[in-house]
Amino acid sequence: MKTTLAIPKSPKVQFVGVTRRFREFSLIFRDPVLFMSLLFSGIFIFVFVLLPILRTISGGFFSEEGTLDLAYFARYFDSFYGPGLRQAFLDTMVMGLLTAIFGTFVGFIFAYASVRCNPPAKSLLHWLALLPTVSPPFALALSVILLFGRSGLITKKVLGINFVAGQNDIYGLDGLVLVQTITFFSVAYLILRAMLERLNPSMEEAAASLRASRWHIFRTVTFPLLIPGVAGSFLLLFVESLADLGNPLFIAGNRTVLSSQIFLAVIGEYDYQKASALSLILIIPTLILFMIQRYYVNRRSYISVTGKPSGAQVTEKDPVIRWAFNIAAYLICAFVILLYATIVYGSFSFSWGVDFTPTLRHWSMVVTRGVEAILDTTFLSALATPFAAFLGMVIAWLVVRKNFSGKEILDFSSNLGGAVPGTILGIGFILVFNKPPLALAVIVYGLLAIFYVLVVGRDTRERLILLLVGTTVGLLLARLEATRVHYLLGGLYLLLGMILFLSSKNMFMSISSALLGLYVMSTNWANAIAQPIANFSRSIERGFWSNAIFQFSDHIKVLIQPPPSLLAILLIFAGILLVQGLKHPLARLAGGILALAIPCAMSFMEIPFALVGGAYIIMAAFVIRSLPASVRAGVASLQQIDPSIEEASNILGGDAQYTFRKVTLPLILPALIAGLIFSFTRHMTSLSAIIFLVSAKWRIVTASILSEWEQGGVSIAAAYSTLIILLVLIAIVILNIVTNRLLRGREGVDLSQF
Amino acid sequence: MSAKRVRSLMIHLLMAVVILAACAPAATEAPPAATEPPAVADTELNVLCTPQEQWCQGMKQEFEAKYGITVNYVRMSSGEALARVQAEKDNPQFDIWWGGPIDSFVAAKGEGLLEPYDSPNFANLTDPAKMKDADNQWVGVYVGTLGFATNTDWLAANPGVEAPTSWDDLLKPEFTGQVMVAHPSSSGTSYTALATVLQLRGEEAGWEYLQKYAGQVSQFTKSGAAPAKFVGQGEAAVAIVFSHDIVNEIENNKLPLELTFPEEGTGYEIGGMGILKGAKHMQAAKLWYDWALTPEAQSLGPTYAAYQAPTVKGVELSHPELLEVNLIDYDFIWAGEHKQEFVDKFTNEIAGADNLKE
Repeated sequence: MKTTLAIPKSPKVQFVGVTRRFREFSLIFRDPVLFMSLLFSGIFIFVFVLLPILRTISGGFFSEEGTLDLAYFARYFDSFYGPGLRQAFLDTMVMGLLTAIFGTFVGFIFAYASVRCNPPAKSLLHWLALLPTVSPPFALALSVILLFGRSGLITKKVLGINFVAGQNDIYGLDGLVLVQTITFFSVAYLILRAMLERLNPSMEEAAASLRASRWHIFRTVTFPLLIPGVAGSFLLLFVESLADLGNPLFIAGNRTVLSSQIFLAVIGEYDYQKASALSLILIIPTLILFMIQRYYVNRRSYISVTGKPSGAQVTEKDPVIRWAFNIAAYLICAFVILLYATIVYGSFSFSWGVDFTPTLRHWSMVVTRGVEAILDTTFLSALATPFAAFLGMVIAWLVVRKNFSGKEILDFSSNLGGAVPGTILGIGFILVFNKPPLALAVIVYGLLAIFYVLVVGRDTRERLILLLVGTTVGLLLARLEATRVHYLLGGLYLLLGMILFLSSKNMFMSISSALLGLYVMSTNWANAIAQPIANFSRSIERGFWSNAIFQFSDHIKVLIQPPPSLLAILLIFAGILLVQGLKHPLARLAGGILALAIPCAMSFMEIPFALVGGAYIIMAAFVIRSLPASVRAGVASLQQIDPSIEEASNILGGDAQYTFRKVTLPLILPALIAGLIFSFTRHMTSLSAIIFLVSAKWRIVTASILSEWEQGGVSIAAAYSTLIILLVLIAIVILNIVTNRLLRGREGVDLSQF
Repeated sequence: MSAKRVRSLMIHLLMAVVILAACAPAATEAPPAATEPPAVADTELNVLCTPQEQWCQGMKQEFEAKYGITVNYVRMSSGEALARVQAEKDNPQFDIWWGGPIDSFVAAKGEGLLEPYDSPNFANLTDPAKMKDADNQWVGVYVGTLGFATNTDWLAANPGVEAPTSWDDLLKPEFTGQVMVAHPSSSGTSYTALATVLQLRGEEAGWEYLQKYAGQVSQFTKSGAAPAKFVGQGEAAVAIVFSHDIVNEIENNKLPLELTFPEEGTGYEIGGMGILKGAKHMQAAKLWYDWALTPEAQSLGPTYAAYQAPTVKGVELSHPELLEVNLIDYDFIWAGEHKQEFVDKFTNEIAGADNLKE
């Protein structure tokens, strides 16, 4: 896709480059699976990552009337607004810096204890360190307030402190940094643990045999070797901390940080220009840190990942040091347990801080009024999970195994969606997909159609006919009334199935085409299926079951009524697979026109890409947020597989698709499943990106927690948080059992690559 | 079976399906029969709900039980709700907006976001002149007065201090850093307090007062009802909240709170309701609109821990004492029209800059 843009500026100088690119282009083109994966991931990332981010940050420069307006940036420099704005910026940076320092420090203690100090109950330590990654983003802020707030269990009941004005309480930057440290240290732990494990012990042994003291070895050998890991985790934590919305909203007190400023600018002042301007201010440091991390720190890794064992692990011999680390790690663990136990306890107590009588009333509220949100969240998270893991794997495969221009951009932008603060993405989603420009649909369709005719058509004349006739027929079809057009399009797929059958005798392809036709038609039947269920839910007594059954009827509609503009993208690819093999020129032409006209009609039906308020926009936000992790998991596992295995398959005549299916896929399955687990977790717990996307029909638990906390009280929020943690843990256990069955005897899932 | 027979079978099958499919448009799904009295084709209604979650959920269930229409709702504070309605102007996802101070509705009307509807039930209103929009774009569904909630444990621990009974009491040194209120940008409650002060004292003296008052505040919350809860838990001493929320905290959550009102006069809110322009379930929205103006619907509040006073005749007040206080002649139109300006001023001059100095 990107290669087509390589137009030479001066032919003489760039001539070699151009031929190389052209050759590369034709090579990619000869491998449709590669081209397809590239196009598919490229379009997804362009539509759902780059476009929303660009839309958000460019919004800060334009007033509502559309004229250039730098007022919100100028405010940073005047004497009226300036001090407040600069203070918020400074506070944000201080928060990031402190969280990064403390988080890395705590992570290091855990990693060193776990790798070098052989602590008792090592795996317990490991899992406790990972616990914060499966909890909703503000669960810890909640529990810290419950414990150390002005009416906290410890501050008030145990220590008997009565707060007076001016006394330092938990609200403010200090409390915020404490909460963020505990929330994010897992990241540092995982990075540093992996590093420590891979350190080649021979260097330290050499230093020890030269009679260097322990401290001297640590200072001059071990630590310098760890610097890339320390720096990497420092920068990642910095980025995570800046992006965090849930914790600052609750525990920052009167301090404001940029992420909550953006949030309040949207929900309080309905000022998208201000929110956009602040977004740009926030995204600049985020991007700088992110780039340093990616392109500087990662390149300076002194660790060679050879995959070969590098001798025995060094263990800490000095009991003082060993137990110092172990005890520190255990103390932090105890603190983490305390925090989570508090959340559970909080969900069962009548009225926190006043009346600790155990009660189930918050839980009964959660299961009656919260049932819709819980079911919707779980359903959408689960549905988005396989897609996120699959897309992550495809991108990882492209990045590790293939060479093409624009690979860096693909790699970088797939990571971008998870790194930028979620509020920025959320605002961008609203701005782009509420009233999307027609140009978006035209660009997406245009790219896909050109690719389609290039693969399907055999010569230029045929390609032109396909493109023009297919598009014209499709545009005419798109003007028909909605119910009719779905039947018509479905019928056309059946027709295509017949053509396929008559000309190529390929049973599989024609049945696939017929099924596709039925699926397209079923858009009309969705109501017929969902309606009786919805009616049934209305006929029974109002409460848990009626709500749950009604949600189920909605979920059916989601499955069979995807937005046409998104379905069209998949249908074009399906069309290629169906029509590609046709030998007879006339059949190819007829089939080719049909298989292009249908997606074309789909692309321009109703308002293309008007996704706001639906389920798919929430799923898209989920996928974008979890994509970096599944890409990383894929990259890590692919790098460990020697390409020669795949080359062998290629030499023996397997094409890219066959090799991927039969060789690569089985080898990366563990990483794929780890990606699934992580994606699901990330979906269930994401807040900042979806907070602006919830609708009456699609409510998300994390947003409910936010609303309930201030409104219904901390106990209901605690009950919701407990429930999310439980659901995520259940999903992890189930996936683990399934994997162990699947991979009997093979290497288990390693969750620690994130 | 030979390959040839399979083939011919397949062709026949496919043709049969094609013919079936071609016939199908004739058999489009019949509109589902309406379940109850008024013939309404809509089976769903999307409600943007601003009062407390429990009341939203209760109203949803009562409406569903009565009319057989499924209600989807999401609860948002009034600022958040207005922001959402503005953002979705071209493609509205909600049909009706129920609850929340009327000035948000005045603002929404100003931007042309509401659909006028002349309900037959306007006749039920106690005070049509005040309780509904001249152009029928919004109507009042409940009334609530602003009060102070003071933590009684805190009062016991600080002998000599009494619960505030005037706006000036809030500025006393003993309450420094002990007052809690929502931020006027996100909460209608807090904006009502701000507009009340400005109307009581006039703009100039009012802003001077607000400057001092912001210095007393320990934390601005997002939601208007939250400070009562926080103060009940001892996070601060005094909350400025609607009195019905305070009653709820005292009666249902057993929080140690004392309810007082400012003597020189307190403001009140009218909780509004309006149909959104371009609503996708217009009939169901009108049905809800009519229903919400019946005595029957308005007497449901106390069942769901909502003690706001009704706006229609024929409902027994659950807590008449909340209305028997010195009320100012609150100008909703003025407050609504100046909302953006005042909130901006407050955010930029008071809570944005000053408070950050700590």
